[in-house]
Amino acid sequence: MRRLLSIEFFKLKNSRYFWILSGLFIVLLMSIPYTARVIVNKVSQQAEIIDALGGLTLPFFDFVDVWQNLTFIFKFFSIFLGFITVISVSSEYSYGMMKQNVIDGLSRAEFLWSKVLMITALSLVMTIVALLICLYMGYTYSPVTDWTFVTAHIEFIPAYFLHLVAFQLFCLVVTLVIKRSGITIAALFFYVLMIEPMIASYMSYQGLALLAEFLPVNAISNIIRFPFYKYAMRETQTTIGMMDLGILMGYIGLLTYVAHRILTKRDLA
Amino acid sequence: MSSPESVLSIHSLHKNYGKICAVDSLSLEIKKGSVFGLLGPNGSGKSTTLGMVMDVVVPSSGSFTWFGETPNHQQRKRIGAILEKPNFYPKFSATKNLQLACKIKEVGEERIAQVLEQVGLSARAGYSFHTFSLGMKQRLAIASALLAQPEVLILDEPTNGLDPQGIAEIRQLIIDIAQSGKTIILASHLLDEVQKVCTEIAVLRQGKLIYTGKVNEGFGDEVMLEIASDDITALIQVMKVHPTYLSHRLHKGHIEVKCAKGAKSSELSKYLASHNIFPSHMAEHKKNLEQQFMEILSQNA
Repeated sequence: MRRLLSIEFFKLKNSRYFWILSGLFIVLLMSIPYTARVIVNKVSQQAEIIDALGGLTLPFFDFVDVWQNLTFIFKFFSIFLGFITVISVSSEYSYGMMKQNVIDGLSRAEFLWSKVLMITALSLVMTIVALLICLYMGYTYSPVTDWTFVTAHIEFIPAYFLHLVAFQLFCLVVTLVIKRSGITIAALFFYVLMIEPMIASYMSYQGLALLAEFLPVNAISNIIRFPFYKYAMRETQTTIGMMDLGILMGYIGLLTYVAHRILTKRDLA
Repeated sequence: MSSPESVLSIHSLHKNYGKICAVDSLSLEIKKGSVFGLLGPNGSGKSTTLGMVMDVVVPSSGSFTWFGETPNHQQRKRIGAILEKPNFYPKFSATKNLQLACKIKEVGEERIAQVLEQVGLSARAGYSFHTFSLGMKQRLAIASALLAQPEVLILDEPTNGLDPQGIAEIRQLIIDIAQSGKTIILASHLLDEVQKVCTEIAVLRQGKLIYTGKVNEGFGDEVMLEIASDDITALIQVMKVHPTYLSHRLHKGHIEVKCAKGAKSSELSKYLASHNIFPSHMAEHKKNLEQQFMEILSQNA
C-alpha cells in the first residue's frame, strides 16, 4: 500500500498542475469564511427576519452550526479537487503511461488502487484543512466554546471527507470512460451544473423526488444538506441522514467497482 | 506442459476486434537464450500478440505462460519491454522517469546511472524527456527496460522512424544485449533487421502463424545462381539437364537458376565447360530472408 501511494505521489509531486490545483483549492476553502463573513454581515443588517428578531447577528460561525454551514459551502469547490483526478488519469492515457506502468510490472488492479489511495489521502488532507478552518472560525466567533458543544455535529467533517472521496471517484470513472482531460472537464461541468439539476427537477415535477436522490451528484452531495433554511425558521435537516449515508456509501462501492471493471476488462490502448 | 527452458509459451491465442481477427489461434514456444524474431507485414498481429503477453491487450481466447507459470504482474518485472513507442512523462527528466520505473519494478535507484551509461545517455540524465530526439527516446526506453536486469527483453519495431545512425546504434545495442545471454523477442517488419539479429523466427500474416524455424536453416535450402553467357539458349538447355536443376528465370543478359541443396558453382562451371559453355559471369547467392519472406507470404496468400 505504501509502495502504491509512493508511486502515485511521485507522479503528482513532480507535476505542476497538482500543486496549482491543490493550492487553489486550499485558497478557495480559506476564502469562504471571509466572504461568508461579509455576506452574513450584510444579511444580518438588512434581512427583515433578523429585524423581526431584534437585529441579532446570524449565528453562522457559532459552534454546532459552523460544521454544517462551512462544509456545505466547501462542497461547491469539490470540482477543483476533482480536476486533479481528471488530469492525473487522462494524462496517463495521453502519454501511454497506464500501458507502460502495466508493462513495467504494475498490475491493473494496483494501478487502480494507487489512484484510489491517492484520492483518499488527498481527501483526508483537505478534510483536515476544512476541520482547521471550521475550528478557527468557531473559536473566533462562537460565544460558547465548551468542548461538548464544539464537538456536537462534528460528524459533518467525516461526512465532508466521504463526499470528497466519492466525488473524486466519480471524476475517476468519468475520466476512465472519456479519457481526454479537456472533454472530461467540460462534460463534468455540464453534467454537474446543468444536466443533473434538470433531470432532478424533472423528476421532482413528476413526483419522483425520491428517485432524484439517487442521481450520482445528488447522492454525493446530499450527505451535507442545505443548512440555511433554519435561519428563515423553516424545517432543516441538521444531522446526517442515514439514508443519505447509505446511498453515498453505495455509490463509493459502485464507482470503485465500475473503475475496477473498466481497468481490468479493457485493452489499455 | 512447457519445459523449464521455455520462457514464453503461447497456446492458441486469439484476439478479435469486432469482426476483424487480429490474432488467429497463435501458438508459439520461445526458449531461453534465443533471439526470437517475430516477423510480419504491418497489421499482421505482432504488436497485438506482444500486447497480450504483456497484459496490455485482453485476449479473446487462448492462454500463455511466462517461465512456465500462469501470467502475473510479478513476472513482468523480470521482463523488459518496449511496445510500439517509448512511453514516458514528457515533462519529467530522464532520471525522474527512471526513478518511477524503479519504484514500479522495485529496483534500487543505483541502477539508473548504470543503464543510462549503457545506452549512452548519462550526459542527458537531467533533461526533460520531451527535449529528446527520437533515437534518444528509444535508447531511454531500452535503458528503462534494462533497469531490473531482466531475463527477457521484448522489443517492438525498435528502429522504427530512426535515422541510419540511430538504427545502427540501436541494433548494436540489441546485439550486445543478446550476447550477454538474455532472451530477446524482437518484432519487426524489417527482415534485414531480423536477419542481422535473430536466431529464430516466426512469420505472421493476417494474425496467423505461417512459418517458424531457425534463421540460418532458411526456409528451404535451394541455391540461387546467377549465370551469364554469350549463348543463353544453349546455357538454359544444358542447365535443364543438370541433376540439381529446379527452375530458372530469364533476365536481361543472364539467367537466375534455382538449384537443389548441394549445388556448387565450382562444380557447375566444370559441368558447363564440359558442354562447351563458358559463362561470362557466375555468382552464387544464398536467398536472403527478404526473398524467402516474400515467397512465404505469397505461398500463403
